Amino acid sequence: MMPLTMAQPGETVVIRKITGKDEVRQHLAELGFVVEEPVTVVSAIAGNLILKVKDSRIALDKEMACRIMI
Amino acid sequence: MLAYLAQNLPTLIGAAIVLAVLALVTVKMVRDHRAHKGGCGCGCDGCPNAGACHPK
Amino acid sequence: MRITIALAGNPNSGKTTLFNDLTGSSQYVGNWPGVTVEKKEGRLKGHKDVVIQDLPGIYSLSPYTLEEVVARSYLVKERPDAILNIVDGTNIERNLYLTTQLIELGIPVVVAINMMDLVRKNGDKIDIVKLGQELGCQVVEMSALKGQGSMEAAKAAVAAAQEKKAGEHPHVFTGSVEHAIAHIEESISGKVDDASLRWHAIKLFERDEKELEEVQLDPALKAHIEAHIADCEKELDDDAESIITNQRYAYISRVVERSVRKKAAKHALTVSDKIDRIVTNRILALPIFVVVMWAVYTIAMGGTPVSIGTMATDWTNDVLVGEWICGNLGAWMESIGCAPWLTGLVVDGIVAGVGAVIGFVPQMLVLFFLLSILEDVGYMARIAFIMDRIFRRFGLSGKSFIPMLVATGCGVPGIMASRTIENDRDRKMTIMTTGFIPCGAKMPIIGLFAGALFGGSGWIATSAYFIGVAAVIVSGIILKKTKLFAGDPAPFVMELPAYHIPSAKNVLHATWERGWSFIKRAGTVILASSVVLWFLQGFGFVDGVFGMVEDNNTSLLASIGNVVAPIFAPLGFGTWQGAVATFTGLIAKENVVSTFGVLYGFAEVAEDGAEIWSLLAGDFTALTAYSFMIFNLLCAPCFAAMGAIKREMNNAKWTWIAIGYMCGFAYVVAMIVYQLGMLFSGHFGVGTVVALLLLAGLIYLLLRKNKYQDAPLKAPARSVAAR
Repeated sequence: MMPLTMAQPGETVVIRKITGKDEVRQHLAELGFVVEEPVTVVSAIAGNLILKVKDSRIALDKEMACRIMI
Repeated sequence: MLAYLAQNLPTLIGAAIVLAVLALVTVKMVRDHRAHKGGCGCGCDGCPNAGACHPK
Repeated sequence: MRITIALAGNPNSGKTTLFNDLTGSSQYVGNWPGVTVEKKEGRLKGHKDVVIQDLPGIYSLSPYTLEEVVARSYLVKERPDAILNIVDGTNIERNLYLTTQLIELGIPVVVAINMMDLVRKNGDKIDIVKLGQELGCQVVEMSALKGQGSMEAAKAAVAAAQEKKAGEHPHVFTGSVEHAIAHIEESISGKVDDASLRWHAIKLFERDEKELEEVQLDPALKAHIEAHIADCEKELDDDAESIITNQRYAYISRVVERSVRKKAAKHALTVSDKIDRIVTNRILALPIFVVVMWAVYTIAMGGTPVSIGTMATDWTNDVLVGEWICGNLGAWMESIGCAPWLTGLVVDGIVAGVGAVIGFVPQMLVLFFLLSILEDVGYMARIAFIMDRIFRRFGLSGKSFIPMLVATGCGVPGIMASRTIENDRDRKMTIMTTGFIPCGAKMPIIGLFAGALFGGSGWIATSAYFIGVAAVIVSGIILKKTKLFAGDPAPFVMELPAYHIPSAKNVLHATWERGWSFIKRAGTVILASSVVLWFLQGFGFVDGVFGMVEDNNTSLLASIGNVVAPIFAPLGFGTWQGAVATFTGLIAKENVVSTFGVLYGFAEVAEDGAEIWSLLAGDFTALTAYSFMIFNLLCAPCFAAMGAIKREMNNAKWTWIAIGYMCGFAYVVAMIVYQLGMLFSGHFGVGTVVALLLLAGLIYLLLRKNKYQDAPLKAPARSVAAR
């Protein structure tokens, strides 16, 4: 398992786990970041990512993206 | 007295118009202030960038 | 009988467009009680007794954000007669997440799938009958942007409200979870409204904190419920909230599989994605941004052949105001016998002041037009993402950039946009620094000097914008190292809407809104200020006698101004005119220009046909002009903006801190610019030394070690908890 920040732009990966047990994680889940969900990395700047999950485009900063394990 | 009025009529009318405009402006400004409408638009629908802070 | 229909849906789902469609002009905008979240309601067109209540855009009914708390409190406590749930058809799975929760409330729900035009264009097919069966409620199609289906959706909601029958609860949860929820339902039956029994039970299962607060359960009952939850958690090896979330999405996947057929491979890169690859590319992103902003400001306010803004403004100033109005109005008034003082008041006061500002309307319109296009296309959202990387290095999050984008139109909504920032410290800091960005009203100042002293170069406006941005970043760095603001920035999570061709309707409407409010201010605030100013500069004491003065250097205004002017001497514009103009700028930034118009005889000069601003140019050099510009750009904002700051800070001390900081910062920067500029022309004096010291101080504040960087601090105050 590695953090989402290590995926290559253009790659589609599957979420295995989201670390942390707080509201932020719940918020991510509500946006569609759940285990077993495929995620595509559209673009990356210095660890900040634009991701495609469940048909929507979500921008995440590095700190959040690191907590999503693929 | 009448002669004074006749002579200065244009000035008096002009001054009256200016005063009226000023009064209207003041009233409008006070009313806007009470209704919390700022000069640039208090409610976010006055702003076209509202889509950025209140996602539709 | 009055019916209330609540409008609920994800952000970016087209809710606002729908709300406007349904209510037209009968809208009422306010705030939800006690919070700074906007509340909109209105009457359904053609139905006097139907109220449409707009709810904030939300992804779910969790208690995570202010918007969600507000929406769910309303739905649970006020219980509208029906909910019209807007779902973005191009993003169905995520949108249905909210739908399942709304249905659980036990209020009749009608689902309106929006953006059907895009869905069809993508080649996807949605079977709304099947979908309705699966969900247990009525589903209709809509394309709010195209104006199709809105009224039908509303009428369906009204019908559902009148039937008063909530749909059948679909089977969302499985096995032991469903079992546990049923148990909880039994346990709390009678303590809550029957219709929403299920919703409450699920919330309790999730250990939702707001729910626990509001439903009073005795300890024995709580323990009983807790036992059930713990059992489930152990069995499924996950925490209650995640279990519910995962099961919801699993259910939605099944529903979507059965009723939606997608054409494209789910994760192929769309056109929007491809554009994003370039626009947010790590190397190209910033240069592209700079070029875009430069292009915007040059077309609007530059001096090049494509600068339609400037060309129109020049025509307005020279021809419209100069020849037509000033020339003819004055002559006409004299010819009908008006006293000279009245003529003077009207021509040299009102027309000069207001005319000076009105002259800039063309430039403003072009600028607003271009900015609206950028906004509508969706580019601005990407900017926040791009800037997040830079901002984060200085302890701020990209979310702080959005208010700054908004502020390029007007500072007031920019300051209010800070509400989206949950972190209290970041929010205060954003409020304090948003005023640095040049707003629409400050543009005439830039345009004025650009035209008078810099040959109409587009770089002046561009540099002003980026100086504003730099001021924000510098302030961020400095403030983050102080005790008041230290702490990690909030995480940045933002949904990016797909790019789309800008809608002419939206763009023109937005441009007109801003343009019209600009003109309105000219006709009201500026007009009144010009009159007052004209009196003050037209009368004074000459040889001890009070009366009209010819040369306004001897006027009352000059006397007052001269007392204050020395403050600005170290900045290079210690003239009374400069001082007075700066102060009138507090009422409205456009006043700086109109004041100059009145003081430098805009009207007279225009009559002679001479270069309009040559008198002004005479009193300023390129350096002092730039310093003046910087000071006015960065110092305290207009009264309207100050009022907004006070409202958002909700605290007198902080309001003064914010205003004081802006003035102080402006003063220091303007002084440094002027004094160091003078250094280049060989002047060296006390001022230079002070400026160098200040510069050194600034650099120190910027570079010093942040002693709060690694110290463990208590969690940043969240605006939700604080209220």
